[in-house]
Amino acid sequence: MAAYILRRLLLFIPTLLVISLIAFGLSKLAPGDPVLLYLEGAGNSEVAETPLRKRTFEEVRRKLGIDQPAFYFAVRPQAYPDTLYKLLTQQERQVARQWIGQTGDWSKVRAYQGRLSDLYKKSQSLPDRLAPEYLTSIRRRLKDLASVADTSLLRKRLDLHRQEMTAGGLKAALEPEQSAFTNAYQDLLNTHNKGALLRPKFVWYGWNNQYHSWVTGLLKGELGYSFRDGLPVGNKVRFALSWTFWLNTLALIIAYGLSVFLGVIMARYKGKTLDKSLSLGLFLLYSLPSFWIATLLLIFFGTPDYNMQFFSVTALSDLDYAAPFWTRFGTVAQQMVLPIFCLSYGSIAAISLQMRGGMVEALGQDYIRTAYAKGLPRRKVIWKHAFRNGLFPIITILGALFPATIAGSVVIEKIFNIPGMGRLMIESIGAKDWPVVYIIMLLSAILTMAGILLADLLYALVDPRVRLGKKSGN
Amino acid sequence: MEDKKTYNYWRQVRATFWSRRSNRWALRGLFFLVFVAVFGDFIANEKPLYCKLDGQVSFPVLKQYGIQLGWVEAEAAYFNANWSDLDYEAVVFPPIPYSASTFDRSNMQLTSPFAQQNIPSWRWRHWLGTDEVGRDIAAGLVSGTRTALQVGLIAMSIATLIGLFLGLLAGYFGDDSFRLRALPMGLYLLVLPFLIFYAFMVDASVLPFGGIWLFRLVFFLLMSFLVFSLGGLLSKWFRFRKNWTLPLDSLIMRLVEVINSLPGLLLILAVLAIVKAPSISYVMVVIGLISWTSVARYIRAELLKIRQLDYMVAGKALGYSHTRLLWRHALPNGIRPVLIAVSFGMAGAILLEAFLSFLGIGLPAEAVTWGSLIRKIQANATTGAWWIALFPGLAIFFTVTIFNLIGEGLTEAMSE
Repeated sequence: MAAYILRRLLLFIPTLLVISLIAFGLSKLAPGDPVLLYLEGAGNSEVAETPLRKRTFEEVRRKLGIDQPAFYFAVRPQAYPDTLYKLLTQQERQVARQWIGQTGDWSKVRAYQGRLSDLYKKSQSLPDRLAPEYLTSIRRRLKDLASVADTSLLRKRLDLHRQEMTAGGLKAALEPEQSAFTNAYQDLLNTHNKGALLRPKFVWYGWNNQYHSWVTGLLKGELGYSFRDGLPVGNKVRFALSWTFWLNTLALIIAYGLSVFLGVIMARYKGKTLDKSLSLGLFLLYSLPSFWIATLLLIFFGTPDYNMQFFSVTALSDLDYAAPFWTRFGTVAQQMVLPIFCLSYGSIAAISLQMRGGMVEALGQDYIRTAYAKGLPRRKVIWKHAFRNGLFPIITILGALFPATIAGSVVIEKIFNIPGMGRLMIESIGAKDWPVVYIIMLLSAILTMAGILLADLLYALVDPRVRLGKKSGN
Repeated sequence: MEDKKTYNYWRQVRATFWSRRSNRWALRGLFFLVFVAVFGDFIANEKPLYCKLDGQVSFPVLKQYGIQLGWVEAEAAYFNANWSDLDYEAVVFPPIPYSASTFDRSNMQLTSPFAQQNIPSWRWRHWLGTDEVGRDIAAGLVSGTRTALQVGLIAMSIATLIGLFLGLLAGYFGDDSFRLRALPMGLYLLVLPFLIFYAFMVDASVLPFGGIWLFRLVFFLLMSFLVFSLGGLLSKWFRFRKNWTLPLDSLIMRLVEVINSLPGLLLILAVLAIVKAPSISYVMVVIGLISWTSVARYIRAELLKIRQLDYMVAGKALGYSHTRLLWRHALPNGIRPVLIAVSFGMAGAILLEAFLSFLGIGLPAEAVTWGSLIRKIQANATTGAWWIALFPGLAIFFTVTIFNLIGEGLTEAMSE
């Protein structure tokens, strides 16, 4: 048994590795500069000009661990430099990539960018009184040009630049930087180094890379920091878990309690009207979209129009965590009635139909007939002989439902405004808060696998015929 | 004589399925939904089906198709026409004379289905009310039917294709009988990194056709085929007959486990966060890419049984090729349970799409779907406009029930 569990647990590792790679890959493909997201979250999105901005960027990059290459190795055309990741912002990296893709010559791109920046500096050094109406727009345009790699757009902008330069009589004032820039620009446009773009190159970056630091950090228990507010991811997840866990556990207990009862009743009256109508009713219940029911309930009980405000639906957003326990308990309990109902009705339907199936099968066995033949009362036959065997299917279902007690329900938490895991997940992905998304993705993967393992173990526990660890036919 | 011929598995399944009243109704419901989805433009449209205007007979709804296909020119005079106000000599409007995007300016501000509506006659009544800008809810439902079925159909087609392919391979070959000829495979593995590099990683500026993705894909597949054929020729030439056994079943089942452990909703949201212009097609593709596992599991389990049956063993003994055994013998007999997975999958996909558009994710802002209709109730919560949430919800509920019932009915019919 222990060996079996160990083997199953070991099988988690490759799956988790693949999922960590998927999560990491997705985050690297996503637009949005993590540094900017972090600075926005920290409240200073407008970090002003150069030296300070540069230092801030470097600091944040170090803190988030993105001052390293992304992965152990990279394969790319030879034209791309190995040190592209050192460029500070995602935009710079993107523009550089676009230029290289078009020209295949990084040194000429660098030369062009250097001349452009020289020209911009020159335009800034000119006194405003020279051509007040043109100079500001020229400066702004030159600054924006740094982020343009689309040649047709660039050509249009440069035409405008030339027109304004002539109109403002600034041609001579901007020399010699202007002609140096034009030369570099022409040179770049005429470059197309096909060879460098077609030759593949394999770069080994070694162990100091983002993925490696992230994974080793995880193993050491460092979950990283949220982009949104700089809080440790562990704290955020723990807070969300505290809500989700007991909410879903409660819903699950209620669902199981009711379903077992309903399932046994339906099996007892199999084929009778009671069974048929209950089955149909539960089946319909199962198909009711929970987001719809939750919305309707929220409107019905939450709007003054219907005079039905028994359950507060807004108290949670401004819950006073310092209030005495019972006051808090009262507020929360009142708020939790509807969510728990919405969470449990779907599983009630699913579980009781399974329970019915299990019981019907158990009641059809020979030993049940024997038990009746011995003259045992029906109640005893059902609860003592059939019940335990009828439980098998709903134990398997537990494996599928258990992950939700921790992963939470996005639907319910979003609609009822509960700060649990589901809401954390949807908000994090919306805000591109990747460190949190990674953890949630890994956590829910672990939970799903653990749920399946749990179901198998429980199955072996209740059914002595099941022997784990032996390769079955299926 | 007749008796022998009439035993037919499919007929049996159909008879069992049809013998239940709920199944019959579910199937009729499905036909109704498909009808509404296909002919939605003729059911709810602001344009007339037929009209005579200035002595000219025209069929504006039909004509719209022509315009979309580029066969007919749109007449500029009717470009911004308010179709309900024109002076017709004769006219037939669709049953619901509104499109999902028609703003009925005289019935703005959430007109209740039971309220006094500001309409010329009962023909123009908003039977299910309007939303806050005067759009007809019934027309919205018709338009939502199309989106819902489209999502379900396309997502499940993708899922079925992938699931069928991988499930067949896993179940048919198992862990021990998928043998690869060593030479072509080894050659391919050597060349593969370069193929990937030149097909997918080289910049567009050095590729023909501006490096469009279809071109890259075709190039990749073509080159793969060429390399394999070359390897085949070489191994024939050198009489090199070494084989490698690939534990295909284990590999595919590990993949199934990985996909099943991925939180689907999170994955969809992550993909939508990456793409430049979120659209419903990404939702469909991602749902398809994560829900193939149930199809694969069903068909694998079926094939594990089938591959030991006499006719398969006989076929093998006769020296039939794997392709022939798979396509002609295993697939037709193993495909039944896929229908079950597909109908439950449809229900799941439709529910997921409705929830996503309820959250306002993955849809263009002007698209009208069941989920987006329900979403409106949140902004209008205090107005008591129950009809904008009730009817779309019922539509989702009925659709999901229909597919669940069909799945349930098929399970029952096939297990007998």
